[in-house]
Amino acid sequence: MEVSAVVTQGLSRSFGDVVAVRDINLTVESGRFFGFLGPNGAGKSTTIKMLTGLLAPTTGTIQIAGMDLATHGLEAKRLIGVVPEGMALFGRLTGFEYLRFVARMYGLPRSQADERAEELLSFMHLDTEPKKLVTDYSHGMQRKLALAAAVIHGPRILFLDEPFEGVDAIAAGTLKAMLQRMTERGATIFLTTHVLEIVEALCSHVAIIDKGLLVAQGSLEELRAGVAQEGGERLTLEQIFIRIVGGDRSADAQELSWLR
Amino acid sequence: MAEINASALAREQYRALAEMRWTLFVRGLRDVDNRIRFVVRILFRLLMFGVAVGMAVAAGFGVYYGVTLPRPGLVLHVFWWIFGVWQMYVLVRSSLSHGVGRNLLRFPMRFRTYATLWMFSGLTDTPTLLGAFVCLGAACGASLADVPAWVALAGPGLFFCVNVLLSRMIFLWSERLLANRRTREFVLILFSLIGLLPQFFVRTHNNPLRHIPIPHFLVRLSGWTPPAFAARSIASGVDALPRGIAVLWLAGLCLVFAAFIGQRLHREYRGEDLHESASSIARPEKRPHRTSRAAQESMRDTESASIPLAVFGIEFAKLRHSGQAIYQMLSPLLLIVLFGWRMASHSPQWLLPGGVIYLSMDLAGRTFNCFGTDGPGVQVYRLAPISMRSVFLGKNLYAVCIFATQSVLLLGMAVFAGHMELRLAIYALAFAIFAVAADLVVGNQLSLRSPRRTDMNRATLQAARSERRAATGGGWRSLATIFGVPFLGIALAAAGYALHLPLLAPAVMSVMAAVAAFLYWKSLERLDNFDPVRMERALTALVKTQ
Repeated sequence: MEVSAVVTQGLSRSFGDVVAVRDINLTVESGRFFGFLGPNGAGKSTTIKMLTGLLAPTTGTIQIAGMDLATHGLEAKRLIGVVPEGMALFGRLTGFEYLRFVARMYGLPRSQADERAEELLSFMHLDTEPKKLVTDYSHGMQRKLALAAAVIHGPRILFLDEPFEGVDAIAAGTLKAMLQRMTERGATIFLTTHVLEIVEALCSHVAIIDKGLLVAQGSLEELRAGVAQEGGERLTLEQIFIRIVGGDRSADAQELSWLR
Repeated sequence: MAEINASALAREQYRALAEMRWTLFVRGLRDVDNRIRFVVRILFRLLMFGVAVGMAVAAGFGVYYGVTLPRPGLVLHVFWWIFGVWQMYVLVRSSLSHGVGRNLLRFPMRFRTYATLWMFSGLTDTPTLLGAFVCLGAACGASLADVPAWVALAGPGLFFCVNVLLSRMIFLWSERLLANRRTREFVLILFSLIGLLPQFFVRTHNNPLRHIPIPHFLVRLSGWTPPAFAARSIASGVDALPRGIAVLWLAGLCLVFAAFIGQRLHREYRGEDLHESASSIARPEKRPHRTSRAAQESMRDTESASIPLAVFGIEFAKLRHSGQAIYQMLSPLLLIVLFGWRMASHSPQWLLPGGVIYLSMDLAGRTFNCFGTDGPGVQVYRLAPISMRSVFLGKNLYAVCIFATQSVLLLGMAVFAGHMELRLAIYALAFAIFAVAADLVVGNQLSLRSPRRTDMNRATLQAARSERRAATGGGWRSLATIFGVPFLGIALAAAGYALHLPLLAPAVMSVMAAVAAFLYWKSLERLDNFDPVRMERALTALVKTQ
């Protein structure tokens, strides 16, 4: 039996008196394209930090590919790829140098690191100006480079936070295809984005977090079934999302009467 | 991913990090400004090397004579002096260190690798290098005094390790205490003020600290401290404790400190992020229920205010919200108190002009990269329908206000110190006007030509200072102005003194001030005609990834 990619039990994280994430029980099966949604400040980033071993939970457990993250952190980190908050790029390196550095930090031999760095730069269309420093890359190029760094060691589970932000439509299409092929080969993608159309197009399963609580989890069809429908109309993910977390926030724009 | 054992992975990670740091270093030297900074740093290091050798020789002599005379109290003094200066320097100057970047924790890194990198990351800082030299000097002194070789090496060596570990342990402990930004800033300011108190007492009350009786329990407690055991390990006459026991005690302290550090680092490694405080987590929304009418009135208020005043307001708000910025404003005065106080006792009339000249260097650092703390926010100035002249007027007004505030406080100090001469007061005022105008003329141009982002949220005051120093754009031009303007002031005052023409310096400086002020006013007009393409290219640097 194949183990789940991510399993959390009673996962909570507090900062002083503020509970950022409360009692999250999440299961992501291997090979799934999983969408993790929530409004701003809901606890998504805190959860991802905990799942990637960057932040210790206050209570609860995390299993990555069947391994307890608390006791097998090193082995678990070898299996995951992540685009960290703020991308954590080194501006004064070239794209190739940065990718090679990341590859070697994951233990790839130098020759393999060089080979994969070149391959990825070419795949991401970042190889046209090899001497260009990362600081001189556009925002979209930096996004692509951060994504390339996240996959250079061939992770089994990939955590992506807004991966397509600032990426042009052609590159986004290429990246989506790449990610889908990864899931076909058994990799798991854990995606966070505010662009719900992307989630609807790519993800088979979704979880929604609001004010630190997991308020919905399941396949898109299960979520649709769980939300009341009017006249049997098929709801989009955006409609589902708004019904679950945004019911009381729709009238705010009326206050701005001066805005023409 | 090819499987690789943990040791080989660690070796690969060390190599990758070393190569990456080397690449960054070499690339940094391609830039002319960075090359100049590198040369300045090397010169500073050479100077520190000279100081370190001098201190090592002094410590060596102290220990040698303390053992041979024998005067064990002298040995004790040497180690207390090393211990006190080292730990105070670390506390007051460096505050707390982030150690090795937490960004590395996303990689599959062993705890041992992380801890090793953390321990080695700050071993080349000034107090550690100085401490190493001084302990080496003490070891040499002990060897020459016929102390058994193993003790002569082990005592100062372990004392060095205790100091390194203790300073790092204090960092880790204070990290927990100071996880909140406001608390951190408060403690930084508090420590600096505490550093001034002895100077104040020495000056005002004929050093009453000497007459305060030290409680008996403190004297007894001091016998259990690292300096006491380091002294015992070398000078057998301190008390009846055998040298071997003293060395063992020091080794034991090293183990205890190392265990504490290991435990704290392990928690950090496991993901306990102390710097993420509750305030950074979004709380449930509490929207201000401002009526649209009130909002409209607020808009009208903003429109009626002039742009320079609005820019000034923003700069002032940045100052209010950052304890580090407040401290940076006050720190030149603290240094004047520390070093100028004694000078004032001999020639108080020079405190005001000397202080103004020193403050002008701080002003230069403040004006040469005036968009540095705006970061990506600089886009607001580019997008709003306002002239760059107005923006600069606001920023200049802020810089002048800070300088004026510092100068008024300095004046208060000078009045408190005693005798003041009118001609020197006029000279100081003229120099202040000259320095302000000259710095602003150069600073405004450099701020547009070579801005650099300044991160004022750095965890350490030292880091924030170096950040600001590094972000002083313009390289040799900024250095030339920072040192050139004070040099002119000093040269003019010295010329008047040498030629026995007391009015020469005030008169010439007044003319120079008038000319500089005129040039500043004319230079403001040119700011709106600055090449927009060049400006856009330069200001983009503030938005880029560092």
